Amino acid sequence: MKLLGILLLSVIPVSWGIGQYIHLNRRTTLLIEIVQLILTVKERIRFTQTELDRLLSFLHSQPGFSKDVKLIIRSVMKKRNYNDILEALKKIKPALLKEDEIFLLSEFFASLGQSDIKGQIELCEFYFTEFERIKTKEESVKTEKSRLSLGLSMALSAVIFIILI
Amino acid sequence: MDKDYSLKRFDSVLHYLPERISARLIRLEKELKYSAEEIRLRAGRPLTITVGNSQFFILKNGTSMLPKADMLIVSAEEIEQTFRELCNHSVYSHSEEIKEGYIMLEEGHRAGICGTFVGADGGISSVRDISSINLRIAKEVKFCAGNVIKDYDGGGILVCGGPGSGKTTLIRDMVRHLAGGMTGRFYKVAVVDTRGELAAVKGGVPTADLGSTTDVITSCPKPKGIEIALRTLYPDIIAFDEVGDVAEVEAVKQSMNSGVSVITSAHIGSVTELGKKLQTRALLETGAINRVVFCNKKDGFNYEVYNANGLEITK
Repeated sequence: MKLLGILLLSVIPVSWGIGQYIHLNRRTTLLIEIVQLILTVKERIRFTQTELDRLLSFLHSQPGFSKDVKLIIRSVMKKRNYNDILEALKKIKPALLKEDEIFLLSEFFASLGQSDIKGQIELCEFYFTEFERIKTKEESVKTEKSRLSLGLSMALSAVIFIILI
Repeated sequence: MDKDYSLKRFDSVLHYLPERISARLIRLEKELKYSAEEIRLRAGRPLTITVGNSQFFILKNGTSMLPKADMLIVSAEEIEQTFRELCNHSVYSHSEEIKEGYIMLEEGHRAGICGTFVGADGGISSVRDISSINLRIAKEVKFCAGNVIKDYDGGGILVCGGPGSGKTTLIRDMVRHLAGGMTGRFYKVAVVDTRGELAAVKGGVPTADLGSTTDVITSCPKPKGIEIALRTLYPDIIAFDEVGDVAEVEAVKQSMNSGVSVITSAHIGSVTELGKKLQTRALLETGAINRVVFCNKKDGFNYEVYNANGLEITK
């Protein structure tokens, strides 16, 4: 029983480390997908000029996007103005995104459909650059933090195990 | 025309309008609703409805043929809101239409846009500060082409008339007859529907009844559309609305050389005017037109049919 207790206690830091790693991984994946989403929107507008509702439905049906992105798309469907979109995004609380990223994403969705093709392409390029910058930063953070959190948690687990044994 | 159908057509444009305006229009008297041809919104000016040559001013309660104090005034914000609704909140997907001054709606209705047109590269790039919107209610009049088309045995038809005389309606019904086997044969008809008024395609499916053997090319410039139809669809007849410039007349000539008949229309009010307009004269000179139909909507749907030499066939 004692050994089992020690093992369980030792596992806690490791699970935390793995949890951190998974969180960072999911966040980076979500940011990559948002960048892909913006690119897809830009190309669909440029080449097919599909109306916004149908475009969002199309994006929602794409197998390449994860549940997190699909939830974001679903929540902004039929929403026409910034406040409604922001409220909807805040409601689903995409925990993987920071508050300023939610604001940025709301601005992007609210600007869709408001101007001609040229304007929309420029808009997509702007938000693409913004999210690409966030994504790149987050990728380097992920590499550093995931190594650190995994290393620390494993070391902590080992220390706990040694002390308690 | 079926009054219930006309009422439904009127009601089908109301969802594009701001609540204050649509709520008032819902309460209009039925007679005005089913005979309405246009709903006109002008920023800072009264809301009007066009019936034939008459304008009805919409009052807060009732209507009047003369301006009155309690007219329903349309605000600039309401115009902007209507514009967004007409575009289905996707301005970019209507960019090409907006440059031409209109927005095609899913039900076949058309909205004329008036405002400050912004130029770029020698053309129009966009429109801003929209000041007026003319919502034109499209209606199908089934069997109106029956007598024009009943003895059809090939050859081109030019439908003439002034604005709002029913040219598009007549062409649509001709296509329905020809592609619906009502003339004794199912003709393969290719409709080049540049402005979306003939077929009113929604998600790839024409919402207007155009018969069983019709192919529709939408949102394509007419000369290119005719070329595509000739090359890929091998039709018996090509139908399109409003022959306008020399390139379109050339495309008609090309289709005639391929043995394909053409049904089209022109903004011409009388036989004497027919020879005066450069494009129609050029069109008649191609030899592609066998019949000329003049239509007007005075006291119902009326038309006169002439052969290409200007001799009247029927009335």
